[in-house]
Amino acid sequence: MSSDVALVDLLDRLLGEGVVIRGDVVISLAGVDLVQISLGALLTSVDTMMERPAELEIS
Amino acid sequence: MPDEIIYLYAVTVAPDPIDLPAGIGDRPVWLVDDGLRGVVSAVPEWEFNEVALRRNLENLDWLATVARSHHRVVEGVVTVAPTAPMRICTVYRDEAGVRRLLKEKERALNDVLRRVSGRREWGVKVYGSAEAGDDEPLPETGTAYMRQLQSRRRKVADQASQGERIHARMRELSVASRRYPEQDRRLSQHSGRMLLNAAYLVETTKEKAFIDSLESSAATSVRVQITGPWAPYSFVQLAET
Repeated sequence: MSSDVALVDLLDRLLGEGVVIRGDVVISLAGVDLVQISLGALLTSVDTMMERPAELEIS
Repeated sequence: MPDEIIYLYAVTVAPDPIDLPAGIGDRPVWLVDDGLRGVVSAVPEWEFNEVALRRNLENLDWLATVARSHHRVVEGVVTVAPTAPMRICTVYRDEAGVRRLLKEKERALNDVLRRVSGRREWGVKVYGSAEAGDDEPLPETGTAYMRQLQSRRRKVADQASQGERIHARMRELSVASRRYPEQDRRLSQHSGRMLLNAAYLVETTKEKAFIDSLESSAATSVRVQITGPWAPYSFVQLAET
């Protein structure tokens, strides 16, 4: 299996999918959808990223 | 609150001991064994508490680092035994929390692990050629303009149907599929329209047929990209309990 997967493909899978356990998690993100958070992350961080493209590995 | 809390990467039936890659912050990863096995490492509480997480998940650099570590650990387990990856940032106060989860969700987790056993996930993306016809010069007459507009619409519709056709074919060769939205162009930096972004759960014995079929599905008007094999990230939703 390759570990050099594109970040964007990985985020598709890691942010919205995977086993979602509610209740037991100490850090309750209840009421806040992780996908929404991530969308915010993409929108706010991409601008920052564009200003310093060398730091990020985006393929 | 303790200084360190427990990050759960995945649940697996892998044997213990097992050789595992380092986790987030290069910390050692171990298995919490309660019949099923939770793949965990310690993470700093200050970095993974709720307030910090809300901030950190908005930071693409942080998110990318954690995502890569999460993925590396999942890859280390899934190659050994059936594995259900957790969603990113699933964190517990202590090992007891993980044991409680393994016990309470044992049946649902076992169902998931059975479902993904002997199968791997493949990603398929289909792109339309650079905005169909956008590079053509602007016609000088109204009639020519209308003609160009119609031809452009036909191309777009044709490409979209190619995407659907490929999806239908890949579904036939897989046991489950899941579609994702078109990726954010600023992250993926793709050109042309993303007509299909989907994941398929494929029997390992049928992988060759799946890939061969995808390659023969490629048409001149669209570009096809396959990624994988992936751990079954897209196919581990627990049944409601």
